[in-house]
Amino acid sequence: MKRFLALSLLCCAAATAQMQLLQVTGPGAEREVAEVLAFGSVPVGESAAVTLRVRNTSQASLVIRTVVLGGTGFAMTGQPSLPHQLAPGFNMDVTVRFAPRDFGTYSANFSVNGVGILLTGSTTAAATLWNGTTQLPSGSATDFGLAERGTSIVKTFRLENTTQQTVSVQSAAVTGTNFKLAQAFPLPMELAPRNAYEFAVVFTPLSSGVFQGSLVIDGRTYRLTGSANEPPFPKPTIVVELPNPSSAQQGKVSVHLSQASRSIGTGKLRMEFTGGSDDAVRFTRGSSRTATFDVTEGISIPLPELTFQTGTTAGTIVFTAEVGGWTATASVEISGQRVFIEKSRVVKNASMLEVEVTGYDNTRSLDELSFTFYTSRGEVVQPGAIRVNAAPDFKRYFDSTTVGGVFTLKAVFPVSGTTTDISAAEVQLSNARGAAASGRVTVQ
Amino acid sequence: MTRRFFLTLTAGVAAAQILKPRIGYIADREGCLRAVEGVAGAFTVSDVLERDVLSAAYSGRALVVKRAEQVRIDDRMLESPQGPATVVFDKKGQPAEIFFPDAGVLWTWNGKGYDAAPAQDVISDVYIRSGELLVRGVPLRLPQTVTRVSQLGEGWLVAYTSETIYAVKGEQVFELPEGEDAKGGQE
Repeated sequence: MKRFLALSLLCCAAATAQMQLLQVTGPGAEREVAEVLAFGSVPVGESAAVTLRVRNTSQASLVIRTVVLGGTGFAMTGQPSLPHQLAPGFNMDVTVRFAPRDFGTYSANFSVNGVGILLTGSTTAAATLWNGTTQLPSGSATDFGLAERGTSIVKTFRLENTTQQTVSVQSAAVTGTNFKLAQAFPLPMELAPRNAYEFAVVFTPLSSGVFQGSLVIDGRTYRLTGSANEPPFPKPTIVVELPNPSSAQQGKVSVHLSQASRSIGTGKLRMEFTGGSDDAVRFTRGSSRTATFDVTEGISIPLPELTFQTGTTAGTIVFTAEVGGWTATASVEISGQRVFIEKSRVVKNASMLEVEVTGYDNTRSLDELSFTFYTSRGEVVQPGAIRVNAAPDFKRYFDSTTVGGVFTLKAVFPVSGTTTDISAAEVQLSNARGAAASGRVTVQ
Repeated sequence: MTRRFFLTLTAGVAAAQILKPRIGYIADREGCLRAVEGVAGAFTVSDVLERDVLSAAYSGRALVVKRAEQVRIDDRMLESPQGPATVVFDKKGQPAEIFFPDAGVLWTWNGKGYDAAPAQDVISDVYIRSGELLVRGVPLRLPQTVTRVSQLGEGWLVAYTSETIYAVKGEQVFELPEGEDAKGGQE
């Protein structure tokens, strides 16, 4: 169907002695407009724009009283409020846009102060693209918004034939990483008048960032955009396995997540100790008090088992796990205890007895030592229990080392007389928690 | 660290020392000799004492360190076959037999020196069978396959796996901590 409008021209030419009508063809480029300006063929739903320029070619100021555009399918923007004073040599620009909504031939009259030209245009039959109630011209962008990496956002589009003719769609494709058609188009497609075809485009980002794609239908390009961020890390918890929470123990610590992770990253597990300098308070693998671990998709226990030592000093061991902005802590209390004697040995020669005791004092308050020697008949060798205040020496030793409360004590006793009948010894060590005894140790 | 103090007795005077307990020695996975100190369950590993060490064994009295073509027994250095060494100590803690598995040679102490003879293995109450550690015929289950075993110190063994070094005492098994990087940084 063709449409024609009755036109009324006040002047046969598009220019008068006072003004000149031009078409802006590019930056710094223009040409005179003839009686008819053709916009050419534009698909339905698309548009074409032309900038028209009115120049005052006289030596006096020109008053623009009327700027008129009449006709279906054409619209005007950029015109100044009227009346408008145009100084000599100056221009007034107006943009005229041809945007046909239906198949056919179009024309309109454009005049300035009664001086006019005929505008013409036509359409090729094509379907228009819609997202909801919004018609999308080619070149426009549709934003899918923000998605978590690995999830999908779906948008539904509609190809609609707004013309009175059957429209054919020959090609349709989606390009761009992370964008795809939910279903393949049934091509070629014939759309009857006033009919539509709905389809979906899916945005599934496989990494975080900003992404672009395109929907191309019969050569007309519609931009697609979307962005993605990392899913949040699940909350970590620390699991400590230590059947006997005391000194000189090895336990295991692990980091668990509240659910299988959808994120990728790294975490850190730190170990801190409040009890003072003790090198034995540490993990057995890697750095002594820090462990890093990787979190990958699907994992719920990123750090399965890490062996740690409680050392030989009373205090509190605090584990801190940090991953994905979360922090979790767990602590183990190591209480002070009496001196622990791991081994004792007594060796004699003709005139001397050497007593060696290895153990630890996790309070580092060892003060009194007591040595008692026995004959083969079980009698106490004179002078009986030999008591020593070793507090200053043990304090100096503990203060000068970083090994915690471990020690080996070697004490040598000269004997006047023979050592033959000395067959056993007993050592007692006292600290702030009480006394600990070695038991009867056979002399070697 | 050594500290001396004196005990005054009615019968005489005694002397004493307070020391860091030493359990024994290991050759770590980087071929570094390190001392193992502390008590069971609370180990520390010293800085590197020597490098390019293939194996080490310590009885509590004698330390045997094997390098490429030398074996050192305390202060004595002896030319030896290549490869690591397996050491069997006598009741006095002295190396009675030294077996070099790569060369198939067994040294036996004769009171003055070592006699060398071809051998396929050395008789010991500690050995590895199919990656499992056996002590006096009793299997000791470790989390990983054992590739090597040696004597760590008096009453202690050290068992090496691909990932971890274990200290073994009786039926007790402990993980030994890793030492600082042999190049000087923290691991």
